[in-house]
Amino acid sequence: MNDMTRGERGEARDELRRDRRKEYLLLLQAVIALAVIAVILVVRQVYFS
Amino acid sequence: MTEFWDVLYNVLVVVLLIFVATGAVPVITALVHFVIVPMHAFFNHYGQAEPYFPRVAVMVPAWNEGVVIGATIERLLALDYPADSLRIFVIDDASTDDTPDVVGRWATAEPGRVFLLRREQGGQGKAHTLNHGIRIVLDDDWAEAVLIMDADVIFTPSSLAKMTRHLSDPKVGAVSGYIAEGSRDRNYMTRFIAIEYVLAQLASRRAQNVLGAHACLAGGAQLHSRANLEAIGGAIPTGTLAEDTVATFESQLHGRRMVFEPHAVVLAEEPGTIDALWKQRLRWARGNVQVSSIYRKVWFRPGHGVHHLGSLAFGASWFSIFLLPFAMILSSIGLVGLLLLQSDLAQVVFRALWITAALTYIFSMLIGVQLDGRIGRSSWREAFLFPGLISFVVMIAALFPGLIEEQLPGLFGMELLPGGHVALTLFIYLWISLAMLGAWLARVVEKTGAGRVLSPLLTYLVGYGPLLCAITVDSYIKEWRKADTVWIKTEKTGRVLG
Repeated sequence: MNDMTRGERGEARDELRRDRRKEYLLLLQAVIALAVIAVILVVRQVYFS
Repeated sequence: MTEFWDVLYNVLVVVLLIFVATGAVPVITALVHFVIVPMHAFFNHYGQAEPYFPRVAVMVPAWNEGVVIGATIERLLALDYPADSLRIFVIDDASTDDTPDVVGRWATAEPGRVFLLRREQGGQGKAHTLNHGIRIVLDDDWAEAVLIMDADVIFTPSSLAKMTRHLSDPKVGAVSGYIAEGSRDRNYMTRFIAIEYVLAQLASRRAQNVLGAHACLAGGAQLHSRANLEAIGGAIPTGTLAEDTVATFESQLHGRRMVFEPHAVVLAEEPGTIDALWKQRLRWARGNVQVSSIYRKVWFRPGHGVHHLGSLAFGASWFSIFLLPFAMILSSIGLVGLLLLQSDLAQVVFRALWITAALTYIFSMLIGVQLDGRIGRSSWREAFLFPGLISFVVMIAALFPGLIEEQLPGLFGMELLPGGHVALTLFIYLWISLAMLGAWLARVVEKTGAGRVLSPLLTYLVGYGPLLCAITVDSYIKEWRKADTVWIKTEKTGRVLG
């Protein structure tokens, strides 16, 4: 393995932290998808049952 | 005697119900898979990863890649990665174009960084070409990791460093990145492929990270630790059309963990026509038929060995894709049979099946278009027409009873006659199978004068999913007939985004 400067290592560590945090967006995306499904099911229940 | 016929009748109804249920298995498996995706927020490998820059030997197999290879090398040299830890080996598989000249010029301009390895006799396939290079690289102790890629893919600047950080964990044997469709001049086909890659990689491989078992790390961006490559025999297994899948399986069978890194983006040029897609996917699908047979002692054996390939979830996921065309056909037979025997029951199971399918499809597509904003913005139409316009209407018919058969015709003062109602019902029940025939027809008409218009139109009508299923059916037939396993290279023109 090559020698990394402290700065480069710090930058890489920050990027790792950022990418890890970005994964929490998956939860928000799932909530949005579930909300749309809930609206569809409510419309079905109200107008088509 | 009447009792005998009653029993036979009931047995037949149960059999038909089982047929319909077969169609529900892939739907439920997909639903479970997509529900797992958000769990990647908590169950991922980032906690065990560290900044890590091992010495990487990049293996670029090339056969007549003169148009693209120069840009590929240039992009690799420009990666945000320590220059002294990166060597590029282009393995020329006896090209007949200017590939060796282009690579030779780069090797002269970048001594010690770019190397040309020439095979005088080629045409044996990617695995053989790669192994020529891998043997040379492993003979020397310089390389700590080996990156296997395709000659036409473009690694974004941070992609390699994002992949290598997972190799800081010695339990990890290989890492792959997200191969995104990156053609400059997009058309309907590349947009369908783009959304497929979002679903199959950004969604599905995250789920596989959570489950701890991977079906295939992308052959266009597969980073192995040296230890992993040596453990699987110091070479990529040959003898199948799915060398990347076999390498992924072997690595896991040898006890190493696979990681998909969704933030390492690699751009690739993908087929722009049905015919080109068919040839590429037929190779992949035949490879999967071979893999299903090779690893027959692995499936559905949870707790066997140090891997999770035998888990129920992984097996269900693999065979749901592998056997999807069978499931579709059985489901159609079941629905039509029930329509003849018990039409009310047929309607109930049809609704249950298609409502589940519709909700799974809506959930997965809504997740899909959000996962990659660039693809989501450009391919949202293809995302929503992925199962085809006709299936989209069938889903609406299932979700909102009466809307298609009564309310819509009523708006125009029309009414569906009883005969028309039966014909429509029969068509809807059969559609799941007919869609594959429609996809096959789309390929046939593509070669005709009207193909430029008719072929995209048919694809939007019958859907991209059924097109992939039709290719899978073709792969069964080709494998059954033991057709030649020639390596048909996908044509590349260098139109990947710069």
